[in-house]
Amino acid sequence: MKNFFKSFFLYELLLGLKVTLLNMFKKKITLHYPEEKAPQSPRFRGLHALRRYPSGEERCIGCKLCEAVCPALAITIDTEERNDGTRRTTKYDIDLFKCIFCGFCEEACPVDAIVETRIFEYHFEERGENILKKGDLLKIGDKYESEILADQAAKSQRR
Amino acid sequence: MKIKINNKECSFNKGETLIQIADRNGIHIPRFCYHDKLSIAANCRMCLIEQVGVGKPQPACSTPALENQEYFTKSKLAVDSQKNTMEFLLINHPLDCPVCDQGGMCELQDQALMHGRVKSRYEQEKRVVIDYKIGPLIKTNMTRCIHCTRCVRFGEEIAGIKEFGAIGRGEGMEIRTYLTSAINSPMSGNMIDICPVGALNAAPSHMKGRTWELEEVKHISPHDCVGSNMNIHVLDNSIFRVVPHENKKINEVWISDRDRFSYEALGHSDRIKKPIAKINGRHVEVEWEQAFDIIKDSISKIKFNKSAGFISANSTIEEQYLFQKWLRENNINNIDHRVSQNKFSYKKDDIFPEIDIPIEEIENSNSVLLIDSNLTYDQPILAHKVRKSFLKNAKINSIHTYSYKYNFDTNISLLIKPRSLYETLIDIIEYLTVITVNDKTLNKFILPDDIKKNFKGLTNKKIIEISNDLLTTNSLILLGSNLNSHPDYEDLKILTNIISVLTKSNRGFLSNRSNEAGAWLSGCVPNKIEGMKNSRNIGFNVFDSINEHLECYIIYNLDFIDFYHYSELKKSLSNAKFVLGISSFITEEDKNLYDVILPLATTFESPGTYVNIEGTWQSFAQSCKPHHMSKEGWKILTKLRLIHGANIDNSLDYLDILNEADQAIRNYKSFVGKEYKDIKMKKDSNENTLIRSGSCNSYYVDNIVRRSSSLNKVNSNKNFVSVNKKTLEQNNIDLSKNKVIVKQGDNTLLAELVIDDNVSDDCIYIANSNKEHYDLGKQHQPIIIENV
Repeated sequence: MKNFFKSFFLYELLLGLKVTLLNMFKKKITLHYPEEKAPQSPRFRGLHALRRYPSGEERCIGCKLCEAVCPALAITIDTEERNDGTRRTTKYDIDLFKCIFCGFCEEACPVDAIVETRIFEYHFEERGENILKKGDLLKIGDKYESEILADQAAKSQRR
Repeated sequence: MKIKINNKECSFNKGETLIQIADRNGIHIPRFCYHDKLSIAANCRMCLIEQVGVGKPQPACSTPALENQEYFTKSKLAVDSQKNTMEFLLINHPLDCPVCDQGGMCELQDQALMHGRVKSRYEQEKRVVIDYKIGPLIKTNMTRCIHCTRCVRFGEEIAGIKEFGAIGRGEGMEIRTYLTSAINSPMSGNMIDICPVGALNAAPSHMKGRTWELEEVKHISPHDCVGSNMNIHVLDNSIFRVVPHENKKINEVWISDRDRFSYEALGHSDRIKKPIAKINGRHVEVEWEQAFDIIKDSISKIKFNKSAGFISANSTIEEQYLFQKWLRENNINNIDHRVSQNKFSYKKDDIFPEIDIPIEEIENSNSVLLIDSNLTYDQPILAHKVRKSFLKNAKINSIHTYSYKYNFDTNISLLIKPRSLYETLIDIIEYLTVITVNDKTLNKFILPDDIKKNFKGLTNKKIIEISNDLLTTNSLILLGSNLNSHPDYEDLKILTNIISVLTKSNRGFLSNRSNEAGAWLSGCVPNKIEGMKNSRNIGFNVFDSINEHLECYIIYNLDFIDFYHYSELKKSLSNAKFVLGISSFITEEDKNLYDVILPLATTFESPGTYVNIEGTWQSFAQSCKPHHMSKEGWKILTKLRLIHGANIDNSLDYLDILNEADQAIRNYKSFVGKEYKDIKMKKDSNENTLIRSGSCNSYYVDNIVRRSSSLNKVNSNKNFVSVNKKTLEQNNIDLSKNKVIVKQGDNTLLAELVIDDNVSDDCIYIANSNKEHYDLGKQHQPIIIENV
């Protein structure tokens, strides 16, 4: 009997509409991207960058640990001995189609050279642009160094 | 006798050390200074283990096992002492493994992980050691050295050349060369392998890759007749480095520097990228199909059966088999591989590179006679075996035309003129016939009359002593590999045979080629077909083929300078109607004489089989794909056979070829026995002229080695001429100047003069180590020396 009345007066429907009604007056959580953006954690894993020391010397020593740890085989490195006797990369390619942004490369790096920045807005127009070359990565690193430095400081507290 | 290690019962023989017993039983004990093949130093203290009832931990590498004792490798005492040793070792060792090239294959890194502390407690300053350059092959980083002294002991015990030493004590101890010079041992590369840390690294591959990226393929040494086993490490389809592969019967755990660093030649600029054909007088690159069409066309226009084919004795047995098969199918019997041989006295000669005893038995010889052999540099692994016999008190004697540097001491070394080698061996035979006159076992042996005619009565005491040493049991005669340019080479081989019959000693005919025995077996000689069967039609040997000015020449995997008759060859080739080259490398100058050149994969890039001097067949796989457009030899030769209408299945693969060659060759009548022949009387040639003597530099012997960049740095390519003082004075040479001019025929060479009493009288010694030496003229020919 009770069930009959409940279904006859569309009780469940009204119950649902009540939720809708209440939400109509609540504060909206939808963001108007790109005018509005969601906050990011300092541990956000976006586009990669290669960093330099303050002296301008590139950090990467070509140890290839990132290449070895990369689960998607997205990193390709060639190295050689530079005139001063240190090992440097002659090629450092990251294929962004393969990369799964797991952040292992960053964790494996003994000198904090490869990092993942907060950048996530980028696009490719032609085939081949998906491969970030050493120069591109260093440029990203140079441009966002201050941001990366702050993020690294924040991250170090959680290690 | 029995002991217990970690509660596991292990049996042992008296005198064995704990680490040997543990290794045999699969119990891991950490170590740095201990090495299976080296003496015990016990200076790293990493192998400390606990002996029950003894208060102090014992070093397992130097402690002999005592019966019924109990040992623990993982008890608290053992683990603590290992941990403490490791902490001390790491105090002065840099902790920057990602920077170091050894990272990933480092014994210190692995053992620090297993037996060390998690964190370093040391905060004071670390020791820094200045590096010295020790040559182009080894890159040093001595700050990383942990003073295990393996390299020092290697130099003293294995290489036999004391160059490395520990200088200073305690904190100030340094491992370095005594004199700041390069390491000269031809086996120096092995120090790289035995160094447990990154102090000694291979210079050519330094900082170019990491261990974990490499693929390993087993290979056989392509440079001498020993057939050392080695592992090729491949990175991205190119060879990254070469390391030894353990084979107790042949090379133990060592390889020569030549085997280790020759791979660098693969990227040399002489490498042929595409087939090249001469079209309208110009050499142009063509496609493979087009090249084969041109070959087919050209061959149909000439009398192809008037051709000669020369193949390198460094080619694999499959290539050699297919090569002679292809030519014999077209009625060509002028096939030869003995391109660096001077004279061919016997048309039916069949003594080929072989040794009567297995290589591992050489060390048990009681006396060894070296006949003009630069053993230490030409066959370093055999020199190591001879050195082992020397250390067991064998007497090593040497008859030579130049006092070569050996890594063992010789009992008697007899320096003679090159042209009196023949007489010296006859002298030995003369003495031996007198001594063995009552030996009944030699009844059947009748000395050829021609030899008896040469007997002149003995005067030289050294020869008597050398002959007496040969009469001991287990003696060995090694005939040097560079003698093949000697005019009496074939006679010397027969005389060596006679000596070995008289003294019941073992013979070894050495070769600079990796597969010369294979070349004989597969029928790459004018008088034999595959399997050492006699050929019905005997063709021309190299010398005759060149001088007969045939219509067509086919040259397989050889540079022109590999030929002894180098200048005659060039003349014949320029007169020939068609010259086909199949080779991996070619110089701009050589290119002009060819009509078609096909790019061949090097030995590293194709599968194959080598037969070494003891007759062991060793197959290897392809380690990387052929560079550029080159193709494996068996593919090219099969295609050439197809062009000539041979009835072959088109879907043939490499294993089919190996099986076919195997079946055709394996059943040869054992290695040819000891034989002697009638020897032709030797005419005394112009006695008073100066003769050019000299061997080929061991880093210039074949087309791969001579293009390896770092080996070329070891072997300085300058023009040196060594002459002894007496000869210089006789020829009125101004000793105050350091340059001279040498002349052979119309050719002259300006060279640096080295006054060297290791050279015999009336000789100008030039070790062939660059092209100018070959352009000057031939070895064992008259030469003139003049002031500048």
